[in-house]
Amino acid sequence: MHELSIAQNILETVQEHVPDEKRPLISKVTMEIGAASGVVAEALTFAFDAIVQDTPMRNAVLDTVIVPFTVRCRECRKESQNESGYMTCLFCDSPDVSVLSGTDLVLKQIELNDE
Amino acid sequence: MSIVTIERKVLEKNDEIARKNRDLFRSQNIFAINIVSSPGSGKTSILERTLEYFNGKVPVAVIEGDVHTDLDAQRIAKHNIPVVQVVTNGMCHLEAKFVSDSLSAFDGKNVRLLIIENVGNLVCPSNYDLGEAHKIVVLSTTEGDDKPLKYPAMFRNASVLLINKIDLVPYVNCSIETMVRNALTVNPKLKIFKMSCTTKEGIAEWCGWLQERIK
Repeated sequence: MHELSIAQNILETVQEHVPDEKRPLISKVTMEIGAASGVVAEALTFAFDAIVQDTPMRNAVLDTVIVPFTVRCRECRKESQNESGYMTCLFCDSPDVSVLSGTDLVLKQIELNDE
Repeated sequence: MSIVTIERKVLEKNDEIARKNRDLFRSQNIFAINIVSSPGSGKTSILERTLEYFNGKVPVAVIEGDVHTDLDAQRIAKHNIPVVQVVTNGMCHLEAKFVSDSLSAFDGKNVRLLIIENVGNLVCPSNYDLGEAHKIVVLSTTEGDDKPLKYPAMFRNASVLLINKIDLVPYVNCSIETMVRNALTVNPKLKIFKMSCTTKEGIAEWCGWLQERIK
């Protein structure tokens, strides 16, 4: 549900980086979505498509790349990708882990069709 | 074709305002908590029991977040403490700006404990930092003991879990032991309190935890 306000945030960030006259040339906006961010890529794409319709950016598509939820264990020192999003090491079951990635939403890049 | 590299968190603006809120709370010795849960778990009831506990002893202020109506603020105002109702008009979570915009209402009140009651939703509020010292997640026994596993983000980001409606355990299909185990699977560092707003069991323990942190 909050994908709509996140799409709005993406739009504002893009507008800060691309001047008015170049916005119709935007062909792709690439986002990294943390697997444990609570944001659903399909819902975000749907929301993005809906809100760009009334802007000069209507040609832009949202490209989403999922970043796995990765934790590092302080006991066995190994890194594991825990798909469930739980704070547990998959190698030794220790709860003493720190999050390395997979919780953020990052706007990576914007592609423009400007020859 | 050209590529503009951005590398920016999309919620950076919210995080920035949250940081300012946090700095302000720290400089004014305000202990701020953000209470999150699904609708109907008992956030407002816990808030009312908490206000009764601190009645007159600690200056408390409340920010109420709701999609519609100011029903919760009306409940809180009866306790004679400053309260701001934020109506999000459909938005499923509070953002840091709602909090910073509300703070002027508490000027000169010497607030020591600020309780922010988020919109009832077990998914969306987990993405938005408000500047609070701790996220407090409420889960009631009527919701089922599997919820921490199904909504891990909220439980991972919280530091305290309040298990509410423990008086209803005999009537519902919920094991508190399983709920605790599931919550600790997601986040082994969760501090857990079990309570009932009807019998008031566990309220003093929870308020004691708060009391230790209020300056």
